[in-house]
Amino acid sequence: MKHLKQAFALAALTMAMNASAQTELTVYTAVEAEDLKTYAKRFNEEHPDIRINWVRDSTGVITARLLAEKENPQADVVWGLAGTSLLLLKNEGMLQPYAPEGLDKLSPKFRDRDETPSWVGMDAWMAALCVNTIEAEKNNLPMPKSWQDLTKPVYQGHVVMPNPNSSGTGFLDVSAWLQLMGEDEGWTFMDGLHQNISRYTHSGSKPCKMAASGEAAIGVSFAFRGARLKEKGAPLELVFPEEGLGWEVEATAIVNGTDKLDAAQTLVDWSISRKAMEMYNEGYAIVGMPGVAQPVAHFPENAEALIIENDFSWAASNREAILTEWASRYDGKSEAK
Amino acid sequence: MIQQTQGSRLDIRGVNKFFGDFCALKEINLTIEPGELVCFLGPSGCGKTTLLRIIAGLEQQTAGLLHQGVTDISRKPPKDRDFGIVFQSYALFPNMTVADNVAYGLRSIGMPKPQVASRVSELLAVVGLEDHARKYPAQLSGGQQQRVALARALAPSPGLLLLDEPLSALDAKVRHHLRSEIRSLQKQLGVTTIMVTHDQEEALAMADRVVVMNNGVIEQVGTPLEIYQQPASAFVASFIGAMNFFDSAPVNGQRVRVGNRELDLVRPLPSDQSCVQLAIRPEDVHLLPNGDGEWEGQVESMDYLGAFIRTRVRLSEVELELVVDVDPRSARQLELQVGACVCLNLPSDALHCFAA
Amino acid sequence: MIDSPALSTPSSHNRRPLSAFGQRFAGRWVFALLLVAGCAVLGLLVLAPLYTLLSKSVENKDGEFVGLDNFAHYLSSGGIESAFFNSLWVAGLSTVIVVFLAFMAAWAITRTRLPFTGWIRGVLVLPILAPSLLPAISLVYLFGNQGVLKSWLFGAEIYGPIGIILGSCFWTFPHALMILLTAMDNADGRHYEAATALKASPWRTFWTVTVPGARYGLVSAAFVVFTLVITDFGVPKVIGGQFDVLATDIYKQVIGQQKFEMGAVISVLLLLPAMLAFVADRYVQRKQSASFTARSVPYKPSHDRRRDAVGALMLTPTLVFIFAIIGMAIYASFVTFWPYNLSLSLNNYDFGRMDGGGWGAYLNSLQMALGTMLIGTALVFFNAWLVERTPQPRLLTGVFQLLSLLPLAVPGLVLGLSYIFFFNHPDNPINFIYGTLFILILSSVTHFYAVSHLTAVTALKQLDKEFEAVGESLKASRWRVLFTVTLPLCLPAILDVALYLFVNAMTTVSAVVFLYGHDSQLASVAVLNMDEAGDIAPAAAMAILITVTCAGAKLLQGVLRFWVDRSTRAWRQGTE
Repeated sequence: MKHLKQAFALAALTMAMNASAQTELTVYTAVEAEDLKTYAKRFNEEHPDIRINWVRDSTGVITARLLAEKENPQADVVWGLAGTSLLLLKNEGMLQPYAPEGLDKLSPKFRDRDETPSWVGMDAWMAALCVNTIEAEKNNLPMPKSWQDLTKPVYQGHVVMPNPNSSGTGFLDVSAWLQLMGEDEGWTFMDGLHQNISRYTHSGSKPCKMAASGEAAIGVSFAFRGARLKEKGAPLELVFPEEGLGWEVEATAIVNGTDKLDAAQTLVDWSISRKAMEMYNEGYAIVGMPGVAQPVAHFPENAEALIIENDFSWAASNREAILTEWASRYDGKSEAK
Repeated sequence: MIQQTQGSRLDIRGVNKFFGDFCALKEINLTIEPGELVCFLGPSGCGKTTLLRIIAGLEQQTAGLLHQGVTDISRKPPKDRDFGIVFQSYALFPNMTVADNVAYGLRSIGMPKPQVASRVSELLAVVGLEDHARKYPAQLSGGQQQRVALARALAPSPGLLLLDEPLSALDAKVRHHLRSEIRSLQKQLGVTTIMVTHDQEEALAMADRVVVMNNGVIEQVGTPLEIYQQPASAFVASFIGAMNFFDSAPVNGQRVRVGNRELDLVRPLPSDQSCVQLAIRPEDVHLLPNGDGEWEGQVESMDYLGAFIRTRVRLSEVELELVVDVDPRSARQLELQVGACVCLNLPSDALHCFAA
Repeated sequence: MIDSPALSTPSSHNRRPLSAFGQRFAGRWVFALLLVAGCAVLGLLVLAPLYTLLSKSVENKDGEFVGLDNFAHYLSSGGIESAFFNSLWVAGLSTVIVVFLAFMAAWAITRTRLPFTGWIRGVLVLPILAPSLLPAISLVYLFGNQGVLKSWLFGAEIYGPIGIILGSCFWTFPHALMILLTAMDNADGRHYEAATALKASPWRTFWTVTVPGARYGLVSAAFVVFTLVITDFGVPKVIGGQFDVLATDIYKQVIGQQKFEMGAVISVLLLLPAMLAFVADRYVQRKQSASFTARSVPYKPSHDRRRDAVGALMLTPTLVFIFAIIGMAIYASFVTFWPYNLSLSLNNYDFGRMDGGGWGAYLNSLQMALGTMLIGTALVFFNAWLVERTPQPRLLTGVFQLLSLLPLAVPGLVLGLSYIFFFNHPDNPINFIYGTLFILILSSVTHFYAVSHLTAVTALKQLDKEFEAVGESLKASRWRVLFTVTLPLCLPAILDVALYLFVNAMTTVSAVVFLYGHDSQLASVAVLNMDEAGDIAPAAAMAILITVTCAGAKLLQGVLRFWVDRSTRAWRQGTE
């Protein structure tokens, strides 16, 4: 009899394990494809019962897909998407607020301000200049140190930056300049910068790629892409302008309506664990949990000190007006040469 | 020996066909007897092909009834009707051999294989293509293709054979040859046949009866001789053969006035007309030496057309130019030449008259 | 003597009225009903999804009806006229160049006796086998700031209208060429003999015989190229710099700012020129009558060295351009780090190590392309057959034609988003297909429906219009005629359509980028993502792999066509 009970218990346990082993989470992400394998592997080391099915694309495409799928969301979790995008989703009521384990250990910058946050941060990616050393030398360009340097006539036709209307990175830069310099001075700076811009691109990583392949001397982009390209052998110097850097949080959230809430919560819990933070730190200099970050190759050691006090809600509520103003000043016919 | 078919009788009653507002056929009534070969003749756009397609069921008439034998086929789809058809293009299946083309209809009705084979060789023998059974249509001449199409249409022994301008894609010599061949084959089989053509010579040479059509109506139905000698309307008269037309005013029931002369007619005038059209065929005009005839005129031109000379004579008395066909011997006797003065008679039994 | 009762009496004599009615129903209406079903399928695949997206153009963010406010807002936001104007002139100029080059090429192939025309044809359609990113990468390597031929642009930049036009010309060229070759392949030799007899110079013959004979093909080619260029966002996005066109404006609104309603507004505006081109094309085509009749004599060019030399001269620029682009892409796929480390390696073909799905994505793409080919070819051909070879009410065929050509005017991005809104809707009973390979197949079939349909219709129109009538007189149903006559005769066209669908499904990005699921990543999307991540060489390598696969498919199709031609030579050419 006792044996029978044990057998039953064992069977039940096996079944439970089998059942949980079959939990599959559809996770939408904009994280680099090459990193996804690592993310899943590290997570599965602790939670082998949850399988992650990634759907990855660029930030814009993933955000558009999530919004378009609003009526019938396909994703269970979003792991690794810009805070601005998650804010949009939150306003659409598409996120399930959840206070994950260890929330208190997160820096306040790295979480939704609500008491039960709709999203929790992983790491931050920050703006940077990708300068091609070979091209700079060829064209006798001094290494820029600040944003203001970029308005100097010597750089005319050598700077590439993302169009804020197409790219989140582009908007990040613009909103950071406006916050750093104040509105009037910010626009004056951009007027000056516009004179030197050889072109605006549709993607945020493109300026850095163009700098890497010598198509441009200086690309206004973000540090992560520059660091990766440098590792691949691009003759790049990453410059972090001294006035301060715009930045954006990459974060995790549960999609409202998921029928795999337990597994989703497990994933979000893990996503802000110390182990996860250490993992993020392999590619990013700033992570959500204070005190974890170790210096990362090609990044400045004092990264945290360089980033500005970014007011995301100000940026979000003024986005429309800023983009309209930007478009009327620099878009379309006003092609810079 | 080829199987004899009992040809169907075809009854067409009150058939009308509209394409939108356009009236393509108006009140067509026609009976075609078993075994008859009837030609639908008329200029393009007269409705002859539309009528054929209605008989085949390829077009649906707007109103009217069709009976084949005792069966009402008015609303039957083509495949439930009993006919074979040959198109101007032949529409042979290019991916099949001659034998397969001919066998196509036999296989449709599930005829056993050996019977198909013997029927196919029988038909190919009839059209003289026994040696070409394994060839593809593209490897045959136009005339041969035509015969294959004919054999294919006849293979299932239809009660009705429909021929849509079957000879018009062929050159003259082959055409003449095939004419008589089709005719004798048709007589031999006894299949009721309707042929659409715009070639009057073809129609007159082949048909038991000719149906002349114009603007969607039947102008006249008759044997080739009737059609030629007693045209029922000015249209038929002008469409079949050559005809001189001239205006005249009736004097009384049997007399008309042309210029200053009055002419007697054999046939009574159409009633209640203030003006009638007289007509006479070129070969019916009598040409006489100068001073011997009723009308004087001058030869304007002469065209040698082999068996006869087509002569244009301008009458001096009235504003009229007549075409006269003269055989070469008479022409020599009359010393006919351009510019010469001649006399001519208009025999009253050769005069036709139509409402103007 | 044969005496079978089935022969001598028409089989229908003894049928009961009910079954006669049934027969008639089956004979006449079943085809109309099938075409209604065809319309419904296209309605489901094109119209319904499009409606879900385009209706947002008259709604605000919260889904309330706002009339034309969005249009007013878009038009007043400035810089827009320039996008509209830019789109028009770039598409217009590309059209002129492509049609001109394609016409010269088609002339050289059909009107001279140049050797190797089979191979030349093969090379000239290569661009259609390549993903759209391939020319973009090559153009940058050729004409970019580090480009080997940078000096050829005389200081102008490849980023902008020049790049867009060059890139667009590259990928739309085969479309124009195929249409023009079809139009010019069947020339009536008698027209040329007449011109010679009238002592017309070759130049005058060209303008009075050749060009008028191809005019419908020219109009069609122009329409297709114009529509393809104006709706494409791939080339302008990658190489257009900040040069605004309508298609990238959609990208900005939808991907950059997630404003679906504004994306819908631009989509509607984009439909206008495309629809206008469509109407113009239909108007011109309506006047077309077959100039090549049963009595025509196929034109065979005579020996003329000088004309052959002119032909070779006309082909040269296009061939060089295509070789340069493809060659540069092949080179790029081996380079370690352009332009600073030009050592060559095979590492970039080790897709297992790359992100973006690697070999799995490639296999998915293969499956998807095969599925698109099978389902698409069957659907396209069956519907075209219904339209062309069965009795149909005029209105129905008109509706169907419109539905079948509409996808040509819809940018892929718009189609992809529409599919999310429609097929992922919770009330849609078939929403379970969302995120599967199947929806990718459906979207690709839809995306490439129009050209496939035109090809099938052209082939079916060329058959004798009386085949079905003869068949019915021989008691064969249209179905039997379809399987015994129509399909065998259309086999070459069916192979063409199959290849077209396969190749396009392999290379397409714009619609599927919104639709793939976690287990249905695609190679063409991987190319885009690798390029985005700065892995240009692996991206080029994957693009080359796709191109090679498509070239393999093309080769296979060529072998099949050769085999079909050989086994049917007897009945095609009449020689033994």
